[in-house]
Amino acid sequence: MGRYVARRLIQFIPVILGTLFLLHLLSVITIQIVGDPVRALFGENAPPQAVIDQLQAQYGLDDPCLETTGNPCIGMFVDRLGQYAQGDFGTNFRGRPVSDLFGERIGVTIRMTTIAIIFEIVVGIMLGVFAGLRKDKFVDNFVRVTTSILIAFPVFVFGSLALLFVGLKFGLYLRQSDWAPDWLGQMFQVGYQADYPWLSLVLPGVVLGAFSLAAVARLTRTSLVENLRSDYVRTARAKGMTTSRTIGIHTLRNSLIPVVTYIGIDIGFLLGGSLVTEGIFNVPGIGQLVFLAIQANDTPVIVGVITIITIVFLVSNLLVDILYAALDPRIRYE
Amino acid sequence: MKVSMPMRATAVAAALVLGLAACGGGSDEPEDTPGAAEPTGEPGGEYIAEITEPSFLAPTTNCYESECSAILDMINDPVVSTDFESGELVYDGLAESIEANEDNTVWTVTLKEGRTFHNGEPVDSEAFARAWNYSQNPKNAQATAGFLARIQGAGEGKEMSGLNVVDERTFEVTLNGPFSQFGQMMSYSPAFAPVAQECFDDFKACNEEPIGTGPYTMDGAWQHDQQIAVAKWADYAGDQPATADKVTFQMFTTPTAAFRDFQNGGLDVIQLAPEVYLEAKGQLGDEILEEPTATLTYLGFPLGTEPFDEKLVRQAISLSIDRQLIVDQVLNGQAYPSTDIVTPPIPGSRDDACDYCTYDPERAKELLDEAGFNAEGQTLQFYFNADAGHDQWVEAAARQVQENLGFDYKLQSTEWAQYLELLDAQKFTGPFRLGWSLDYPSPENYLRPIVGTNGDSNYTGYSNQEVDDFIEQGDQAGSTEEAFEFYQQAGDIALEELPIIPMWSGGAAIAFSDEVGDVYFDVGEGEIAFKEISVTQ
Repeated sequence: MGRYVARRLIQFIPVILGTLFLLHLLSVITIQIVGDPVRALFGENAPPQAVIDQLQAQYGLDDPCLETTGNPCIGMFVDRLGQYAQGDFGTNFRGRPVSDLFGERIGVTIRMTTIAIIFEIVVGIMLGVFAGLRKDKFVDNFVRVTTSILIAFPVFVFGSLALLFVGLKFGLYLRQSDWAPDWLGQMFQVGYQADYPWLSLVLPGVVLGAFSLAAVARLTRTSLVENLRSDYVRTARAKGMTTSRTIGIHTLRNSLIPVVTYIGIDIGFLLGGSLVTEGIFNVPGIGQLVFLAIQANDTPVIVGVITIITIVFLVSNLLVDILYAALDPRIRYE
Repeated sequence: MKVSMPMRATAVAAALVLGLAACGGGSDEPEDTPGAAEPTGEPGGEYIAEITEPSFLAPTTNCYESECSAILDMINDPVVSTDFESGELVYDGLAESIEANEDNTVWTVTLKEGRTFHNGEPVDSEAFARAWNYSQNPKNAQATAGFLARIQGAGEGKEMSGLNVVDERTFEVTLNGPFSQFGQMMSYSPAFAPVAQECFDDFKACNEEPIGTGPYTMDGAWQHDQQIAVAKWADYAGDQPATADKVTFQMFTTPTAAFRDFQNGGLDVIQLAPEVYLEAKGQLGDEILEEPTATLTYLGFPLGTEPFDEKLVRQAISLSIDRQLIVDQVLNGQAYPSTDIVTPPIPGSRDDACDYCTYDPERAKELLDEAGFNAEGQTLQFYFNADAGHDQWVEAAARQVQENLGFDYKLQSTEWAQYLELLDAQKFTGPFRLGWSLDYPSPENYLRPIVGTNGDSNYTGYSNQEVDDFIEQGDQAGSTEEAFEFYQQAGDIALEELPIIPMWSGGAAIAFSDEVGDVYFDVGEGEIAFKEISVTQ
């Protein structure tokens, strides 16, 4: 196990360096092709050149390599790595450090992502087990059709519809009614409410988790169906073990390996999906930060936050791989 | 793209706006023009309004867009205001008088007695000198530094030679040349606001909780991307209105999210973005307050490129575009066809100045023939910046030009930063879209930047000695009225030669809940007059 972890950790270094370099390259080429973001802050009313120069220096965008398209600006990359190592992810165009912005908002995003993951795990695995046990029956077909519909909808369409019909139409009815308790109305909100840090995130969390829910349900179903046919299950049954023990302990545990892998990758996707969901539901998290930065063309924020998210993504993948090895002994002895 | 740099306006302006809105056909406000000067609602109460995250609140001189100036207007008094009807100065701010010498080169500002900052520091000449000297220094890279560029010695070092403190309440400003509109210019308050020493010592802290001079103070620190709350200042001694006791400004990621919150009862006042305008209009109908804004959208010509170097061709193109149709069909009626380079409701704007802004395809064809130009087989390349809602109207205009004159067209959309680089380098080969938002309410603020030689926003390369001379004469004029006449003469030449063709001026749509009343649009500010909104109790 120790050697496996060590090997995996060593692989991690070129992956993270390569990823950061690609990010750096993208941001540099964007500036080279699209143009100076500092100049764009001012619009049609050009400020004095001295002001532009000063701001470019302030945001580290005065490197002459940004003038030649295609120049990878290696010097800037090395500087950037040095700053990252010190925990400095730059400042936005309003002078606030990206790490502060990130710190302020990460809590909300974690809460929303947690709701999304719990939702997709609990409901997804439950649906998958039901469908798998009653293969080709009504329940199975029902789950197949509903999950197909969920997968087919882009997040922003699904989110906007949920906001309008569940958050506003249904939620407002609850909040204005005499009978519904306060917490119920807050569960179907049109946006984040600071007074209800968990409840008001339920709807956006469910929207965020809906897409993955479909994947989890189908993965669970397929792998359960496959495992139910395997020899060890037949043996277990022949030995007279109860159905609940056969399925709950033996089959399900083996069937969850692909699901765990998927959820690990999904944490990264959820952060990406939160960009849209947080935009729609006005949730002051990381996704909204990037959403606003893209609108404002605030390059330092985009690069800084994406870098942090990338690191989180890579680390969570690393953890999943290690967990995977713990679940399946065959992997660590390869 | 959001670059509006506004002015604060007086209530008189709001009244004027109501009059103009009547011809635009959108307002349901009472027609009590003089009454609008005083809020009719009872003072007190609190309400919640929508706003976009401001850029900076301190130093105020870094505030060059309408969001921060909306907040700063609540917590800062202006130096002076401009009456939108006459263009004259109104002393409802910090200055008791602003006087120029004979040739408009030396200006003496006298401050009102006994005014203080929220922290008790006196508002004296020193507070102004501190702020202005900080702003003009290029090292500090202040966004509104350009406003001070007319003052002698600006941009050269730590202190300007043209700013001279006479005594506690008086200071003198010496300009590089005559400029009759310097008073009007000072009514753009963020660029000229005084700064308290406490704020000056720590701009970072002050940005989170600015110290101002106005009727409202910050109610807690700025919660970035979430909200800013202001509350009435008990010791306020000035003349600005302040009706509600407390105002909370909330920020939203998207206009749709904001509108949903409004529908949910969370917001009292919201400015409707185009994304939600039609939906809101369908639900609220005439309850929406619609007003013209002082923003101009125009098409500019690269004057060095054939066939745009020919005046008759430019005139023909302008005449072949049906502005009213574009406004009605493409812009949902949320705009006003242009009749001048200066937009209503700026003092000195006219509703019949542009002869070539009407729709007259026959005359357009005649002019093109007169120029001896054959449009068959020629292609016009139209430029606009991407993802800013310009695609449809530019195409509509291009199609009308094609239909009426025979030019083929191509559309080229570009990212904003790249678009600006192309503009700065004047690399366009066809008509390009641009907008202009005023800095201060004077016709000069449209003409000099857009059609003056080397103007800040002159991207057509237009240069005409006569236009420059008339603007110059306006700068030297002894009275506002006289100045406007000269500016209008400059405008007449530009509107005959058409280096740019004015298309339309924008419109604002505001929805508000039953909880609030006295909602007006402040044109100069480009924002709702938040200080005057009253709360139903």
